[in-house]
Amino acid sequence: MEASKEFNAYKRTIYKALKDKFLKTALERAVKAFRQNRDAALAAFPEVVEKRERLQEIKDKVIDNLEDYVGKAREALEKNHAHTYFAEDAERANEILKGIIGTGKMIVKAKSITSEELEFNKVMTAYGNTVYETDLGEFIVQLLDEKPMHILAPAVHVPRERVAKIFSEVAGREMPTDPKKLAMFAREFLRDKYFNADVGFSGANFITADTGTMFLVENEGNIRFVTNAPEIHVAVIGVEKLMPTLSDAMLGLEVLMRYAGYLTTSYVSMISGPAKTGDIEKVVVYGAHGPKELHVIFLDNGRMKAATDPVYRDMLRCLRCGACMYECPIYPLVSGHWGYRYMGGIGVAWTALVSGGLEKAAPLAYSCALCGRCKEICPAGIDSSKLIERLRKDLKKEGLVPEFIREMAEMVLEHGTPYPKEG
Amino acid sequence: METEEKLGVFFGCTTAGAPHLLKGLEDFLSKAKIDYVPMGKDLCCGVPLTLAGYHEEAAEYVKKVADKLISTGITKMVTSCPHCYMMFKNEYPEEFGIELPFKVLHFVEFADELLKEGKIKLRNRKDVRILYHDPCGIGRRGPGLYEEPRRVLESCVQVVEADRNRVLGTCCGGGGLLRASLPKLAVAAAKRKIQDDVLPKDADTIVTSCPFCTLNLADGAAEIADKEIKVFDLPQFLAEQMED
Repeated sequence: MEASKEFNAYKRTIYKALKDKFLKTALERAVKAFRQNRDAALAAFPEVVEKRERLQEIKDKVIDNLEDYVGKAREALEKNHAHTYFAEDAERANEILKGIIGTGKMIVKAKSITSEELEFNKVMTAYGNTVYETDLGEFIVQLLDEKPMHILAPAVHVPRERVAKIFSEVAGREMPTDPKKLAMFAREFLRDKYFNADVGFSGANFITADTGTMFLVENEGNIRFVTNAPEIHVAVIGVEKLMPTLSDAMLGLEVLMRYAGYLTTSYVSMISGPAKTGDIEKVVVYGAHGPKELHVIFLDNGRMKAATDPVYRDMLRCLRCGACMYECPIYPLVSGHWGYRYMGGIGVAWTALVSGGLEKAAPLAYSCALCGRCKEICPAGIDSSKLIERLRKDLKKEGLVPEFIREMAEMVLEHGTPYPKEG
Repeated sequence: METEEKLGVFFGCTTAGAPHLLKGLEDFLSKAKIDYVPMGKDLCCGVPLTLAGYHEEAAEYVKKVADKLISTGITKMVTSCPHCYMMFKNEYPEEFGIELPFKVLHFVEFADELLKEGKIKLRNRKDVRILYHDPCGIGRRGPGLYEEPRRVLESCVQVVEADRNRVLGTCCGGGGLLRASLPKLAVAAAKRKIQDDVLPKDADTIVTSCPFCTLNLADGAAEIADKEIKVFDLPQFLAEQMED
């Protein structure tokens, strides 16, 4: 019964989203732009198609040996004078974060879907801190008090008219709908926050086991400020982001950028430890110009268990390039409404195994047409249809199947047809 | 001594439940003068069970279906439904360990064979432009039956391609139980597909090879007010191109 109630509530949300004209306009623009950009990036760097196969092998090696790689990366980071932690779940990660950050602090934050698993903003605000999202999309979503609707483009669902409206409220004056002017407002508003903040918070796209180097890929330049201006930099990184070596991460970087639709991004930050100098008599002093402290929390939260499953393990290859969502026949119709913290087809598996659990994943599991195009365009070759088919088996085992599915299955078993007889 | 071929046609519940699709397939078979054992009009292949995760319950069910099919003594079975096709061809042996003692063909393979052997005659209507929609079930989620339907269609009409076709073709939204779980979402996907793929090509007819795609695309087409788009399942379309 519970499963059906959840499903019906979800169905109402989806049907409401289908009627949302703003959402439709915004997503159509986004899908069109993404396809053009991605096609151009792949045409300019055709060798990336081969590189993605090598990347899949590397990713699989890491998934098979997650524990080892966490150990190696921690060792490397500690050697670099960073502090490292391992959090088995979101709750533990939040305890660690509270310990590092404390209360009454100002935090500037880079975009991180992993932080959504922790409900970082909510938890840190409740603990007496102030959090500023600095990625423009996340900043908009935070002001609107909504949830991110795409992993790369969190405000993909918000057309410029709505951005102007919310910025006008914050500015206390009428803002034009010109994207350039809106971006400049966010720039001015956030500028002093970086330098007054006590803590910069980020995720990472990759982290290497050999040198403990995290890669942060961006265009806006906000991550540079977030990870460089405050005295303390804290990063929460899902264990699946590990790469064996620096050169493996470079390969991953190339594949990620091109499949996300960029010839290159404006910035890639590589951070391996706190800032230091030895310029005065070779005495090492930490916090030369950048942060004095670097704290890296490796987050499990279901990933280690997923890694041991022959089907689910593939979801850990995800680079979060977002290509699958743009190419999905379903996602562009409803955006992140089809999702919990992770979205779209791949998000269904991440919801079930990492952030949300089977109950939250249950209503989402029947929105995929199982068409398999995501597998064709995924740089990591993830077959989300297979993940979802597997999940449906688990939902059946746990008694989380919505009523209409149960009825249909019973029709087949009893009458040899899924369709109710007429009359 | 070679055993005589005995052909079964598995209609499947979706085709059997849609009078125009059923008539289309029956007309095709009768116009092509094919002898066959009709099956699967009242007997589901079991794919809704596996799509719903009911594999344990399905094991016993599919065994019964297989026994019934085998008892007819057919040597070859054709189905026009990609779901039934993949179920018999892949799931029965791989998931349930049932080896069917006959060959399973999708209708696109069957029609392609008939055409090659000169057993069907299609009217030449090269003034007719159709857009072919690749069903996922026999395409990227199946053995990639992309050229068979195109060969057949190109022999009688002009085939227009969507920008994204074959392995990258856009799904109509009709599969994976989506039409059962969120029908409006399924139809919205079909409508979007027609707007993106079909309207820019100035085509007004879609032909596909799946009863789910046919029904879902037709529902999507009905939501497009300013242009009438006709949608046909391949057997139904071919039956219309054949002399009586």
